[in-house]
Amino acid sequence: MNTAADRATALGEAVQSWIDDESGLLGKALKATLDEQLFFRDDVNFALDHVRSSVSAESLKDWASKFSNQLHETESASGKKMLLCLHAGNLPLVGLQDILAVLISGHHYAGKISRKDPHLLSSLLRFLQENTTFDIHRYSTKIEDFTNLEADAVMFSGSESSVADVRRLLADKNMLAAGAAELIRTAHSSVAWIPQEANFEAVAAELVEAMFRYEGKGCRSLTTVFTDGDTRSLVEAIEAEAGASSYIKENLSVRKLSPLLHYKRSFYRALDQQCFSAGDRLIAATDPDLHTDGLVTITRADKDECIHFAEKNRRRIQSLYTTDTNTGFGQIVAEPIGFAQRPPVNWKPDGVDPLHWLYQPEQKPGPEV
Amino acid sequence: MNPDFIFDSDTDYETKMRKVFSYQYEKLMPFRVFCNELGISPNKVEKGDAVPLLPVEAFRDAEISSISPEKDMLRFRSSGTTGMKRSAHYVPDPELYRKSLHKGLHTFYPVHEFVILAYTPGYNENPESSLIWMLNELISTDETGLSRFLVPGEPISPMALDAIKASNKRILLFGAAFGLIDLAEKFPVSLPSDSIIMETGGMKTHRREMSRDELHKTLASAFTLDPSQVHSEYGMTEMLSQAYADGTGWFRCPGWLKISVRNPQNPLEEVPAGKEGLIGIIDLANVHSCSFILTGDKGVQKEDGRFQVMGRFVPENLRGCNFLIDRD
Repeated sequence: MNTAADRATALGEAVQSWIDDESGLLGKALKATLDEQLFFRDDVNFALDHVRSSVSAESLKDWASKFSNQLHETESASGKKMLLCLHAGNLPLVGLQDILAVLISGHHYAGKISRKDPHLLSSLLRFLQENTTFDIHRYSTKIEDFTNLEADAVMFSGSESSVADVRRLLADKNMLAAGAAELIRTAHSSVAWIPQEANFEAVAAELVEAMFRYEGKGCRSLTTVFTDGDTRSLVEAIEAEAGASSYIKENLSVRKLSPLLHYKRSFYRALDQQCFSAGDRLIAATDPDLHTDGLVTITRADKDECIHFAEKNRRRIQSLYTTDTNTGFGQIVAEPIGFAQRPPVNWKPDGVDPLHWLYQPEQKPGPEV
Repeated sequence: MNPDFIFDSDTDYETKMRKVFSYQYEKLMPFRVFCNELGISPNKVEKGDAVPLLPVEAFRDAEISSISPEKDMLRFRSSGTTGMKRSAHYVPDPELYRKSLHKGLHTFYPVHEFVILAYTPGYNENPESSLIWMLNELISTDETGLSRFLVPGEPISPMALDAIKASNKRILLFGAAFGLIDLAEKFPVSLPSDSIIMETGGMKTHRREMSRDELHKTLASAFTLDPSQVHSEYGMTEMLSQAYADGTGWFRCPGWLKISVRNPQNPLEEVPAGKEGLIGIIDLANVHSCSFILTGDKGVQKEDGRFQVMGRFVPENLRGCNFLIDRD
């Protein structure tokens, strides 16, 4: 595999083979994941279906083609770098994009697999080791296995409070070489703009998926909605859709609100602010709140206020979704709501294309410690 | 209801608190709904700490008054920029605020020994500021006539200082932190060594962030005082009582004001002494509004009830994709 296009093709075909082989490595990984109750079956199936439809030879070649001029560098051995990926495990297969980017780039891949999702990505990596010539240097659920790795770069997602600890660990255990580049993503939730002319009933299904899929845990999950329409009507439309959702009924309905959300719901009701709960999540027509886990806010505001909010909180906000992506949002590139939990393979976490970064790994500053 | 009972030293705090709780549960609809949603009512509360605290945002988002506000009713509003929603605190009984203010200050300071100097805008420019109303009240009740609002942007007049010295009174210099810093930086002056500076918070609005320690050292240096002479007052638009801290930074409350520190993940729960959390207030002087308030301030409390204010509470956020060493 001499070129990025070759690697992209081989990788896309390998991923499809891995996904199709239900009795093989993936089947075993799937069984272990469900037996250990690491995720809902619905969410694992959803994630696999999404990989099946979005990761192909064509889609990866298309992604690689955007940087074809820069990709030649790793075609000589001296250009190959050691990449350490620290994978979170809050969603099934959440680290897949980083793996794809490293392998297409031709660099060496070393990956710390999350203990919260230890089987799925591992099964893909093992499949690739057994069936392809991709350079998978090391992968493990144990961070100690990366001691003295001296990687040239690291990629991970973290919060402002966790990044300092991670950096310290990487330094103490000599996991990174001096001057190693870092790609740290800190955004943790997403925002939507729903204009008053949108049909709230029609958009509610996509909003519910954006809010509830993967238990609302991913950085692409929707936590903050702005509308210049009637917030009551929007909340009612979402509540009706949530009430009809089989995903919520089967997976979330047994859960209860946390004490904090119960407290907040009591307060919203005292002030006659429209709200409802579905499982352990609270949806309320109130001011934005990026900090309370399990809370989704619907706020009446104009579009400029929504844009201002997204720009002011750009370190925390992953994506901005809307019903009409043809309208402008300042510097922000808005996505259709339907992409929330089904992003294309080349989406840009924190606005950075990881494949692009691998060829221009200038230090992307993480949060200040 | 005649609120004077809240100052009655012969009645224990718990009895007073229950009376106020029953009254507000009956008269204040948002508070009653809030309590009912949490399954709490006056006949179900065994101990005072079980009364739920209403988020302070209620004063911004609703009318928190057991007496229907009338056109000429005294009303305090929080500071804020144009377009921002501001809290409103209706005070149908200004005499209650007067009593709370004077009795509270007298609890900790021999007020008759002091002349009050206030480095804030004057009352006429800010009739809706509870702090400025309070200072105006203290100034107007000083019989020496030496207490006054200082002119912002100007130094403390040497003649005023001489007159105070000649009266054998001490100086109690009030101001918001950012205002006092401006005064200290532009017009430092030696104050008599028995003076007290009372900063009333407000560090976050200053052009630069400053810790309380740094603030106090700066003020002490500029006014040639020992840092122990720089004290603090804790109050807000939504309260009619104040807590005071001497140079140690630990606040104390008058008998009708109780502070607790709450678990940010469950505000119905108090945290143990020494642990940080959200500051909760029970201000019995708020008889006609709501006495039971949860603030957004971070604090810590000692076993004896004294507390420290540590700025705004900013929750740690673990949402989203987040590699955590101990979990991933």
